[in-house]
Amino acid sequence: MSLNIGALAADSRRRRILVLAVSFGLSFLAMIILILVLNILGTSVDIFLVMDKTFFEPLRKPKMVALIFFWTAPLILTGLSVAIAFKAGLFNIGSQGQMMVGGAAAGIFASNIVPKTQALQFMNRPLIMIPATMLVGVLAGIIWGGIPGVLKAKTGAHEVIVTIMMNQIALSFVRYLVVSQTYSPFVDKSTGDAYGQTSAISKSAEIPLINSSFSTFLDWSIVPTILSAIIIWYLVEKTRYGYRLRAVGENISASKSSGINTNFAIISSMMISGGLAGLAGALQVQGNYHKYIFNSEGTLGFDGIAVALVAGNSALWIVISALLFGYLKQGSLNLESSTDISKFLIFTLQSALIIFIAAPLISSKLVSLTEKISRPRNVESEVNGMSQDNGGGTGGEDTEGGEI
Amino acid sequence: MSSVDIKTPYSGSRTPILTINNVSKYFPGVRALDDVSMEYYPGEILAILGENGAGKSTLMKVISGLYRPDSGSISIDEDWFRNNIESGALTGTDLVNPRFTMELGIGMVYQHFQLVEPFTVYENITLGDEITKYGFVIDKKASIEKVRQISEDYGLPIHPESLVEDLSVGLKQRVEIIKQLYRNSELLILDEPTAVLTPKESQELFATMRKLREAGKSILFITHKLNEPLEVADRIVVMRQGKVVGETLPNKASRESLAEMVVGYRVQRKLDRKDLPTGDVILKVEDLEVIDKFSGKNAVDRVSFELHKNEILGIAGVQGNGQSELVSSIIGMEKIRDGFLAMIEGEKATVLNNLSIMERLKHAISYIPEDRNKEGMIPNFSVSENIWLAYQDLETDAEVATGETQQRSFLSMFTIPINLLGKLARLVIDRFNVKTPSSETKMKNLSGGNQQKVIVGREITKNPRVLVINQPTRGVDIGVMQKIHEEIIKLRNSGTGVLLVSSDLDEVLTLSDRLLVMYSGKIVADGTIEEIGMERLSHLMIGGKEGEE
Repeated sequence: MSLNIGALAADSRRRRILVLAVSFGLSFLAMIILILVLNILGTSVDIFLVMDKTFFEPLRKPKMVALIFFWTAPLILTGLSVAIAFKAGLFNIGSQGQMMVGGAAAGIFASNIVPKTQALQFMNRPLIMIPATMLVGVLAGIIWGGIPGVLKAKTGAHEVIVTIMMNQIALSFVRYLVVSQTYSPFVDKSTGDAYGQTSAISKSAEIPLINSSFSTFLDWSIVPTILSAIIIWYLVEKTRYGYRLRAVGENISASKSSGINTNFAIISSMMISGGLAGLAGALQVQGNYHKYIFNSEGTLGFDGIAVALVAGNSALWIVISALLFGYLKQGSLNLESSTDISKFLIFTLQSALIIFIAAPLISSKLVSLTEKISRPRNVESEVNGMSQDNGGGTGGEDTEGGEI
Repeated sequence: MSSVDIKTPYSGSRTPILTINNVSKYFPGVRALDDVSMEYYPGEILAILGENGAGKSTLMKVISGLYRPDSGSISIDEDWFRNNIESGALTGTDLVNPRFTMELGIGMVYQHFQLVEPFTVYENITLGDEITKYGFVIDKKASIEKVRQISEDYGLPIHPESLVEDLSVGLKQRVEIIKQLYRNSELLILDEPTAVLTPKESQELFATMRKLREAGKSILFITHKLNEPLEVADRIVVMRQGKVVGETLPNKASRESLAEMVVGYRVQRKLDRKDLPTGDVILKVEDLEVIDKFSGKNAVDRVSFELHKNEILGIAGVQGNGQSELVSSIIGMEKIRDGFLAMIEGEKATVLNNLSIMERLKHAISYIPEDRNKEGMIPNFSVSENIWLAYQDLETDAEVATGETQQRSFLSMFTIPINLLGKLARLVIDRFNVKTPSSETKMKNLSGGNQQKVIVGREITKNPRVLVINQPTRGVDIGVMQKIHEEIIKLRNSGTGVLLVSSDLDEVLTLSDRLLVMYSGKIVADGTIEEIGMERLSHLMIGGKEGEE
């Protein structure tokens, strides 16, 4: 894959922090310039108010801090979902659809299937229902992610195309299941015209709030989320399976000739990827809405791509990256609710951030420049020293060279 | 330290057009160029000879302006270049950068071609400096005419309208050269130009180089092959470990004297091999057919042979006659259409046809692929992770190789045994003398020769029963070649059967106990070199029939 997403992963840790900081600074600057230009053109946006509402107030008020974590949790999962597929060299754009299917399946399972089936009543207690509902979401995601994986491995169908189409199928299929009142048994018809959601899930499937006096949003689903991040990190970096996954992602021919079952790596990584997105969907239903609401995912699935990109696909960095996005999201919502300024202003910042990160050369050049100023001689540039001679072939001096 | 004293054996009162003064260039952990000085005179073919990692390519990049030297300077006789080309005003004289050198008329032809494959020849040549009419429409007729004219002027036949992707490697290189001529390059720098060429194509290239010199162009080419400078150069500069170690003229040098300068010690071509009686059959191939994906024809056509213990079986043949397909099918990278393939262990024969690659590896077959960058290694993985690639499901082999038993626990079934990786890496690095800062250095940061040592090392330390090796020493220098040859012989002495493919006939002849000659997917001769005879061998390799010599 010639996508630039992998580029950051190669950077050293210190350098990545620098690049991240510089990118953030640049996008911040871009936003301020945008506001100033708009002000000159006739709007009257108070920059200090924007700064305060977006960046400082969310950190001052504990309730808002809780909300940051609330937004962060699903972003971690969808970010992991994108990252693990990417480790195997696959660009999974389908986390959105996988999350939707996972949420819908979990919602239908806990609101209709278990409560309405006599034989399943034994399950209807928290100790079983909470993990079981999560599992149903994961399984639905595994199926939704596994299909593009199988198609890729067996027929060579490009995963980007297939996952885009799977997103579309998910959207239509879930709409059919929970919006269409005439045909679907799962639609909540009790609310009159407010279709588009399942009836409430069984109380036993709900994930409780951590502390209702602290926040009425933040629930215990943050625990399985963080656990997932740790497990995925361990899986990718420390296990034999992860080693193979990375090998396949880096060089599929070399992996094949070393006896690695590349098809298994492709299919399984897509299944794990789908499962993580599915879990994100299920946790939203269990912790937050207590029913499945059509399209309640917003763009959390797609945002996972940005989260993974910023984190360079490293599982532990994804937690930090998701926090950053959660923080910006809460800031933008706070801005919109407390002033008449649209949250889309902050979205421009987010988007600019992604551009600066996706084009690592910009910020990387700036970082090199500052390094050069502080250490004028013999800069440890990214030019790969020892591959200067032929035969090395893959010298990486074409990117991120401090010089030239 | 003063630089090596360079006399200028090249006669004539001409002044140099390019002078390199005490240039040094450092990379993290390496001194790529160490106080290098040399001069270049117009109209000569200068060969820069040296091993991989000697600093040749870095020097070229410094000259072309891609790298800035850390100390020292390069002076270019601009007047000379200006008088030779009519290009417009030049700027930034003291700052050498790629654009400047290009405008000045220094043209680089890289080892890896910079061509747009789906474009035609003339489109590639004019790319970046197109001939247009009305200011923006590409003048196809004029472009083709111009390309044809250059091609006739310099005697480099090419069809301007054929697609580059359809051309052979030799012709692609010709396109690159014509591209530089189109841009009025006066000095051509060729980076390892023969690395990708067949022997015949190399000869054609040398003819081209001589023609260009007659037409008044200057050529600087870098190589690690000893015979090439002797054949085509006017002057030879030898580099070793970032330094210029000497300079000579082709008529005063020999392969041996060059080899001595290149590696710094006298090369022993004699390999320590004892004559061993041929052992039992270990691999049996019968009526094997492998299909060619593109043409649908048989790339390997009903091939039968037996490989014995203690034997190196060399496959001689011009590249592209089915050798690669044959060896890839043995490891399972290519599907077998018909026939069978079996490992023989005493009384027991295991048919390999339907086994996965991993299962074949577990039968102690080792495979060293032809293209190390594509199939042999993972550039972004560390050296130790690349070594682990060969051992990952063969942990007992790893334990035998390192002589250490791992503690087994439930968790160790799933995790990478870091200790074992480290020990394996130490083993390979020490035994094969791999030059790397550490076992955790990324593979892509090693020179080509050291990468090959890692790949060959990890397979040989596995002590396989059958080693299938394709191009064991492609693109590596003499020192590495010697080491790899020694290790292959050692492996053979220990009882392994080795199936060897190489485009270097010398290599096949030196190493092999027995030869198979392949032509057009078929085996046309099978026997020792004495049985076949040199003349008959070269006759058969190019498709000659028996008895029509």
